[in-house]
Amino acid sequence: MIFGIPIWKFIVEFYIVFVCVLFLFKVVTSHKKFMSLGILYLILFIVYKVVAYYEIAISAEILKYVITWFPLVIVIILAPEIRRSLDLIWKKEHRISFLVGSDQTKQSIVDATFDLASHKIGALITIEKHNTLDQYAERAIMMNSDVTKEVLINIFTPLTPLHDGAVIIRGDKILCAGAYFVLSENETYDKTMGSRHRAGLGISEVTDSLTILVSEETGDVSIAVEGILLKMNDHEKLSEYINMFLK
Amino acid sequence: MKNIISSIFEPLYFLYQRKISEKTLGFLKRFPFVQYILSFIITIFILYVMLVGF
Repeated sequence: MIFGIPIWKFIVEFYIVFVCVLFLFKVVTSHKKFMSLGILYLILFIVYKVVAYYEIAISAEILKYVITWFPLVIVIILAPEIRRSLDLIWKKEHRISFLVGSDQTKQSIVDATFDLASHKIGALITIEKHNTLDQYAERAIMMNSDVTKEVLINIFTPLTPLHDGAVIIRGDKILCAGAYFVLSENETYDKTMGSRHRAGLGISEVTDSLTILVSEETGDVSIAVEGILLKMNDHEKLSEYINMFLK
Repeated sequence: MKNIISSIFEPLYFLYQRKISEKTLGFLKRFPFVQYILSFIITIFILYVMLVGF
């Protein structure tokens, strides 16, 4: 007997509860937003238990309503993210490791970027890390090509079918071209910022990818990472950031 | 001082600013087995509470 029930029943109970808890854990840890809300819920729950224990009536009553309805509110607000996360939970791409590009790939990206910048050709190159970009790639033109300077320049050459949109790089391969991202709504940046930069910032806000941007107006090179835009002045600086990012 | 005030009056926002969730996620990514250990502990706790009570 364990906890007053037969061992076989305990094993069945344990297995089912364990699977449910683990599943919930994986959902919560699959996205930064879920994690924030999960921790918030945990804190509210602990506070509720404490105030209920000490019979602090009004706070306990308010918190009781909050923790009862909070999960429902989360589900309604984050419905799209929940659907996406459920897709990703058991997917291979959502693992701890990610494909690291070779030095040759990194060099090709840097060379292509500054070549495009010197000709003032706009470009948007996103390098995938832990968070899969499959959902964007699915709607783009799949390529699975090796990363070379020439291919990247060709993709972004104006008036070619693939030049509008982003290139997604996974490891040593160009996964796709012509991908579209959700634009950033960050108010802190200039309202006149172009849609390419907003798209780069947008993808960096929702995933852990690194995006290289070339402005077609000025030929400036920037990178967007974790919702921050950084200007790159030369090859060395960009190489340094890419190497640092893809460790 | 500003941090102390915000941690008193806006505790949840303060926690959010400290990027607790990102740090936790980073930790769980580095040590994925921790998820299993925590799930195990939570499961035992749930079963204990449900079957025995506090």
